[in-house]
Amino acid sequence: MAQNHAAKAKKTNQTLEVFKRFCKNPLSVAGFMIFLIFVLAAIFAPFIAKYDYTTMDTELIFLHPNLEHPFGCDRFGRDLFARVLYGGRYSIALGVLGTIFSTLIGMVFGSIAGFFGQTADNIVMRIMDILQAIPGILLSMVIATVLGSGFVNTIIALSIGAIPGTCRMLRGTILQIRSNEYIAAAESINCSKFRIIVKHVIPNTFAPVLVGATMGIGGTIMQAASLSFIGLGVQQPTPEWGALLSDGRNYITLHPHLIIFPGLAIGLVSLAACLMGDGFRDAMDPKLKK
Amino acid sequence: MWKYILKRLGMMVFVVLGVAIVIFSIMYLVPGDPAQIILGTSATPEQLENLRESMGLNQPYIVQLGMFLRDTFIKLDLGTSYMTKTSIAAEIVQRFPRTLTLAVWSMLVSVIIGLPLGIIAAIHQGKWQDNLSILISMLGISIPGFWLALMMVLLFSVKLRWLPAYGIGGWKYYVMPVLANSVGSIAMNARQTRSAMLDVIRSDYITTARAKGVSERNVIYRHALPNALIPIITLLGTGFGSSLGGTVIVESVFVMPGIGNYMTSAITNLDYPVVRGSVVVLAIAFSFIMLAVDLIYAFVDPRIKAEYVGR
Amino acid sequence: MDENRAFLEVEDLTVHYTVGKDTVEAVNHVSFQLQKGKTLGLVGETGAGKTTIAKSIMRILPVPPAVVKSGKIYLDGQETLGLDEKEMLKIRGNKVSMIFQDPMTALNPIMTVGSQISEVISLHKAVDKAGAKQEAIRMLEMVGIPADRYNEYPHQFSGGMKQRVVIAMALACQPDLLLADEPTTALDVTIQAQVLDMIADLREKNNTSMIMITHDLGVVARVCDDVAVVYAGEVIESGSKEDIFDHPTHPYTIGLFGALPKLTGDEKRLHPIDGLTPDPTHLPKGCKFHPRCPHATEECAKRDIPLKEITPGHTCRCIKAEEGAQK
Repeated sequence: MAQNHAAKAKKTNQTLEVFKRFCKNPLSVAGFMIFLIFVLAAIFAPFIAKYDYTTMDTELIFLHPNLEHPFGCDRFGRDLFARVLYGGRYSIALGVLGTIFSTLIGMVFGSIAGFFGQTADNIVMRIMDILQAIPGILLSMVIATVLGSGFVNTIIALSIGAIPGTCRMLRGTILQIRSNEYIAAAESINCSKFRIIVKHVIPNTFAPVLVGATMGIGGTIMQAASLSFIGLGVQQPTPEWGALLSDGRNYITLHPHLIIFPGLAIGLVSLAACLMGDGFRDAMDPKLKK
Repeated sequence: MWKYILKRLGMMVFVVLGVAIVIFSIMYLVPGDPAQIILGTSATPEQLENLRESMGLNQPYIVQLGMFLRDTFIKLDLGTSYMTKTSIAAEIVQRFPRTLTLAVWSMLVSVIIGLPLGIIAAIHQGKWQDNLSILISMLGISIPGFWLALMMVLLFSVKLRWLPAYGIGGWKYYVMPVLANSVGSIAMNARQTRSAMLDVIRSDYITTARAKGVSERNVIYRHALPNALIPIITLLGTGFGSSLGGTVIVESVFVMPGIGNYMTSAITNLDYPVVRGSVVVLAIAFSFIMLAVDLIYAFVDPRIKAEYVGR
Repeated sequence: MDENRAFLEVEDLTVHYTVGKDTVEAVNHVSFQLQKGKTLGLVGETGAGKTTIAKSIMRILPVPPAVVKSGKIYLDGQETLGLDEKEMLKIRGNKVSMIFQDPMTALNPIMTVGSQISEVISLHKAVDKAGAKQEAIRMLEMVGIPADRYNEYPHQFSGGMKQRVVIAMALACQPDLLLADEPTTALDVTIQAQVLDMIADLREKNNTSMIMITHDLGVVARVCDDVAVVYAGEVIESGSKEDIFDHPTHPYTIGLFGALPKLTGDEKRLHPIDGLTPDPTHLPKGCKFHPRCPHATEECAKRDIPLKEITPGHTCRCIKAEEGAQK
């Protein structure tokens, strides 16, 4: 019982320690704050935007940015600021959910490959060899083509496109953890395979998975935007950032504000996710930094 | 060594076949009736039935798959486009060099800029050169390539009129597409090179080299860099994959008549055989590059080389 | 050249590591001397600062985070800490060379062992490529590795073989001073003696001085002439091997020997030193050992204790020794 308490205390200490180190790095905190601001802005968009994101106004068509409409208006006279704010709901959700699903699926396959011996490993890895030969974005495109556009379909397409990468990363991590002596120790006291995976392996993959996933969010948002940009993924009138870019690309010469702002939004969120990921990595493994 | 090359070639055949099967199977699930797409809504049921029969669409999945594999790999025939009724293989042969040029140059540029950036950062760890390099790679990772493409068009084509905004022609037509397509890989290469170099610089054998009286310059270029390059070689393979995938978007922005552009217009037009054929060809090209990368890897790392030379 | 100086003199060496806001006081005011051809044992626990001392002599400390705060090192009468890098390159691997603790990681994995040895020869000797190779092969054979393994890579060698390669590399230029950083710790016990004998043989030919860094008192007894005991970055006792083994004075030294089991007595228990090595970012005030010392008084925590000569050549950093009241 006492031991249990000690273990618990140690665990919280570790988390606290990581958190403290994360907070010490101004760049990671900045990344976290930017990301948080974008998430909050997307959630509370109705309270921030003065205008509705669907209301068209023929008098405001292609209006350039001014105080009333800070990002200007689009080809239907819709307020672009409102559209970018609401678009965050789709883009960030796509990025986060797409990353989570691909990580989860990658984790399942990675565990199978890394833990259930030669045959399972071989089968999974050969499947991954095949999937990996198709560049991720192409795989996502093919799947998006088959499923059609839409929010859920895009998440599926993005997740599957990212599986080979996450699966390989997790298999590597799991094999590395597996070679540790504490796994041999657990096996020596007759721990069941399932228990070893759940109790000893999965918790130790947490750190690299968290780092990889955080870094992956930016990339997934960009991939989602790319899909929408070429006419797959989430489509107009949904104000997803890629869809906004796709909508504005034909008017770039005269009305560049239509692509500057959505692009900046993608760039900033990706940058924030990247900074956060770096921060997590350095906080969890301070050795790596210096 | 030959044994390894043979083994690796066998693996590639397996992967290429697998890719074709996977792509065929995914595209097989496309909703809608190809006969309807080709003939349009005005077609009579008999016309539809006849077309289905002649295209083999009434056959079971496995027979269609067999026919597809036979056509693709033995007859080198990727079918005909629904829209233009022309041979897809012929179209791709014409377009492929442009896509390959774009992808190869993107990869070269990402190596030529990314590697030195990472090396300089690692050598000057913690100093301004390092911070600058980290900043550049952070921005590179965060900027979407196709957005950068649009911004460059705005600056270099619309405002400055230095470079053509779209189309195909001399080298000028490739400058912006290559830059847009390589920006992410430059950043990835710089980051990975930096961390690989830092790993190596911290290792004991670098201290040994210093203790031998090797000059700092040679410690970096003769001892550290060759070791750091080994993990980076693998990265080049995956980097080429993303360059190849990226061409699809970039070609669409710059209206370059390559495979990517062929594919994106096909997606819009529901011209599925074109999509299928394009992906299969791009994946096969990627497999060849991966093969080359693995062979180079085995050649430079004595630990892998020894594994196969001995047997 | 100063004829009055010993072959190697380290004076008041202080090295700190700066990690973020913390400062690790790795080496504090360390001084010692070594005569030509003799062997000094630097004895102490892991983290006591022994390797940092050796790397300071080689000038291969990672800067930053390491900072040499003070000190002078005289090698053959020449001060080396102030030398510019170009001069130092000629000394490293030539006049002074080092054997590292872990042979598994000390060799470059993608260079053949032969080329790693010939590299150091071509750097310091006026020989051409073929000459360097010939000399490298001679060195390999001298450490008992057949010449036909010249073109093999480190991963094809066992741990003991790799350490032989490292030794061949360190002694290839007949150095005047050899720094051996726990050369046997990573090896099997059966190979340890072989490696030590090999080092001794090779040194003899050139009258090479050596600093043997170790925590193994058996190794000290076997190879050293003088001993300096290092604790928390300070030399706390030094003298001839006989002084230290027969008349250990500092409570820590006594504790070290007390921790050795004796085969002759029928001891039921080992006698460990209580407590842990101090946190190097927050060293205790006064005598660094006082929190663990069984004889500590209030006075011990109040001021820094100087080294005091108790018999000629035997010094000790303890308040009791200062008072002349030996235990």
